[in-house]
Amino acid sequence: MSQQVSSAETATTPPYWEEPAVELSSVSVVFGHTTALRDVSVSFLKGKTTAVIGPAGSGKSTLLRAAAGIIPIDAGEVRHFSSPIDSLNRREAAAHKRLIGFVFQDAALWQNMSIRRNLALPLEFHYPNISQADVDAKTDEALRRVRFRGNPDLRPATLSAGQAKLVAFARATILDPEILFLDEPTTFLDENAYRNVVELLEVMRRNGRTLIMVTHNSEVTHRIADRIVLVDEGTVESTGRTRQILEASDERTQQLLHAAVFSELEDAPDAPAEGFSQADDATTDQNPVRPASRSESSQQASCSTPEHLPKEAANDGGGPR
Amino acid sequence: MVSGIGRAVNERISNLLYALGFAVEVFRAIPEYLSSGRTRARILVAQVLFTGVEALAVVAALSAAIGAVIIIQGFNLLPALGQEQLIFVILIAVITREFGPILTAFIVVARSGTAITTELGHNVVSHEIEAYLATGINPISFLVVPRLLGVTISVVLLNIYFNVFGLLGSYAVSQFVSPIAFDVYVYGLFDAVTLTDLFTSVTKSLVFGVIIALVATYHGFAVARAATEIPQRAIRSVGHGVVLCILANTVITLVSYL
Repeated sequence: MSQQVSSAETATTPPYWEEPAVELSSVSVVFGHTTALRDVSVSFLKGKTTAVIGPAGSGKSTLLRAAAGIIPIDAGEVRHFSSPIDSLNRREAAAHKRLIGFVFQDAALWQNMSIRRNLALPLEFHYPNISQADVDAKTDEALRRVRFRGNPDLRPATLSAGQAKLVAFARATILDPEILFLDEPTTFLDENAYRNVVELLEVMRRNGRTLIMVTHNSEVTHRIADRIVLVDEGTVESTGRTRQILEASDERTQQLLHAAVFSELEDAPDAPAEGFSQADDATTDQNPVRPASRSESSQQASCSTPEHLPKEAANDGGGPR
Repeated sequence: MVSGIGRAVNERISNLLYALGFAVEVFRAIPEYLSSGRTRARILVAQVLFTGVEALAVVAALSAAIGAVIIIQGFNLLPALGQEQLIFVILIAVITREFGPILTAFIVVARSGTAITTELGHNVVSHEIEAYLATGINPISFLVVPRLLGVTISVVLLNIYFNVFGLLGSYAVSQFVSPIAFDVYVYGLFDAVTLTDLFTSVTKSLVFGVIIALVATYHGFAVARAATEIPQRAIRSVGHGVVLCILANTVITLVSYL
């Protein structure tokens, strides 16, 4: 009997390369009278790069924030490495945040601190006993990695939008997070900074980090994304491998892909103006087929590494004091 | 009509409960703050410098002027009643028990309360609060608690300044109206002051400090999305801060005479 149960469990356990790092189950988020996310269930696989795309106002950024656990959800559950993030106590939750990084669309640098302090604060918070020399070395290294050229002792208000984005990227990656959430990582960047950030994302991807990014940039999607989550009107329309989604023949998917690129370009004039070439080719398909991968989005994958990361982080004394 | 009133009452009750919940969260976060490292201490020091030290000149001028007015009025009115000896009791009652705590509270509401609401409101709009959350830093213990402690310490310090400058100001003016020897003046004050006066004064300052900080931080975090909400919240912060301080002052004064 127990053997039967065991074999059944084995059958539903995904292979290690498809373990979810982040899972949302029936998540809803309501702002006032507006439902920003409606019963969303989606998994972001470990070690994969997922592009969250969709038209303006479709709920992409809310989905990203809910997945990162930085906004409260009104229904459902968010799990990181199979652990519900709501079940962590305050100390465990704080320590768990060492494993994630978040790059905000508008950088969201702390304006009342110098650029250097912006990078030092996460280090000092998560490693209270770190020496000043180590803090300085790590902040210098992080700024060098993003090729930041400027005075780190100045306040963020002195930075251009592109420079601020680089500093935000350096801050989000200074703890070498397992999961990096990126909200429009390439907007506001000049050509050099753009290439630099794309290279950094590729390096993180090669190093097995889980990247979840909201983007409208087709080049970034083509080059980096292993998977796509297509969002519209607060729901996940379809998920799947990048090529699978881009080459989908149904009209609905193609319409959303177009809306995702062109509506967002109006909001973000600095972004490279490229479309999805495969999507363009497929728009003539007149068969409105509901995306087959919709069911994939609602799969509730189980994971064989329960709670290991949050608890490990919480127990090694690195939590808030 | 009736449903509209019901909705408004409902909303006010839920806002009040939310504010009480916020206050409980802040007090729960104090131990976390006290056990934190050097980073958060900087915010506390900065808050005390801004609220307690930079307001010193305003408080000194205001208290000296008020002390002067009390002594002028006292020396004009009390002799007619044959009660000159009451001047010291009046000075202690007005400056130490009443004006010291409440006027310093008003100064702090106007200067620091608005500054705190504006700063936190801006932090919300620019997603800086979300950045703290994403890093694992609890904004309540990192941003609110040091401001609560800083403002409370500052209000107590300013109250002490107010008393010192107010009583010195009245002494200085008395030299022009009806000169008294300094040692007689000081002895008269020590003779008039009681432990209840001092305790009431310090208690008021502590309570006002907590009220001002909680109201200011609450309204700062209540900013939802738009920058235009920030000045609106700052105005509400001042209004609520002043009203709550006056109500608390009345209650504490009443209790102190029971």
